[in-house]
Amino acid sequence: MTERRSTPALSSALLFTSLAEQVKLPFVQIAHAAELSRLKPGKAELDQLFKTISLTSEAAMKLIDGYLMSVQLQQQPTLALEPVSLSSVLYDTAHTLDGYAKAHDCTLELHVQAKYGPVMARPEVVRTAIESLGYSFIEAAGQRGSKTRVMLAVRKTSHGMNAGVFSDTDKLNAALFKQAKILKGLARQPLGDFSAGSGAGVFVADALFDWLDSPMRVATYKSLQGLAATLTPSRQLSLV
Amino acid sequence: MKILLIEPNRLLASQYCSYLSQKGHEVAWREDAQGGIIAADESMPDVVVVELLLAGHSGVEFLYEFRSYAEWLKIPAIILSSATKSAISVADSTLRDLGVGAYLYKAETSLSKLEQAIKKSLSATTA
Repeated sequence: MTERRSTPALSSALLFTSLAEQVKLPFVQIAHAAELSRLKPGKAELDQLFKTISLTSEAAMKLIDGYLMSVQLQQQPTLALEPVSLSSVLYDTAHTLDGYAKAHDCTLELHVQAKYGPVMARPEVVRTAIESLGYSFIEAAGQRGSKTRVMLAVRKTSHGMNAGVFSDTDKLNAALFKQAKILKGLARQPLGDFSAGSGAGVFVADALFDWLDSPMRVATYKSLQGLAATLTPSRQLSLV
Repeated sequence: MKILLIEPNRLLASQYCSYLSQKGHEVAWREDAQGGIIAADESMPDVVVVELLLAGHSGVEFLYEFRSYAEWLKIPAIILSSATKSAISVADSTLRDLGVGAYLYKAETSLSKLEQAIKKSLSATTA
């Protein structure tokens, strides 16, 4: 049997497969919303249908944007990094994800422990990675019941600034994540017990953090389990 | 008609529930296999609609568990999945043994088509 070597092209193709599986559902939801709108709903129901269409299409578009970004970044030979405020990125992301979290009956929290200095990264890459991860965690949380917590958090560690998304689940661990990366695009449920979906958002985030040379790892924060990446603080600005 | 729906996606589930209740059915929705068994125990459904791809135990595992109880043996089951039938590694004979009356692929199943399949499945059982 020929050994299959992992190349950027193969990785992108597998990520695309995962993405294609994931974005089918928003289309189904939009088609159903259209069908429901023909049942002559009241104003409140109609508003709810429009909201569903808006939220699902936005989530799908963000996921596609994240995938495209990961492919485009692979073609860039150098890392042009700049100082990025993780707190600011997380505030923006929490704002973006708020409606989606409410629609999934999930409690979205933001934990920024202190005023941290910037890290060396690319703001759009970190934002897209955290957003993709957030959408995936919210969908997975919705599969575990009501009022499940999802937390966006940043904290200082001895290695740098650690930012990620966490949730009250015991189904996420390092072995599962390692296996999921192998099964990306090959299995329908690479994240097994954690999520029923293809995990495209998680893999998009993983690809983006990889590009930043900050691999995403399973982490624990305030008794919640999640995925986070450690980014290097900007030394120049922290001296100011 | 009492329908037990096991669907992991919250937004999709609310759409199925909304449509089927507007059509006069009573829908109990659960997001996973375990919840589905508990719900079936609480109120005997007339029909079960289940997604195969669930977090934790799969839809097939749910059906094996479900069919292990004598009182639920004759309740019709419908698979409504985001995976096509050809993509899943479950034989037709297994689905027959599990009492699956219809396999619906979500991307090709409108809400009205789902309701028709539910009605057809129930009439086939009662005939």
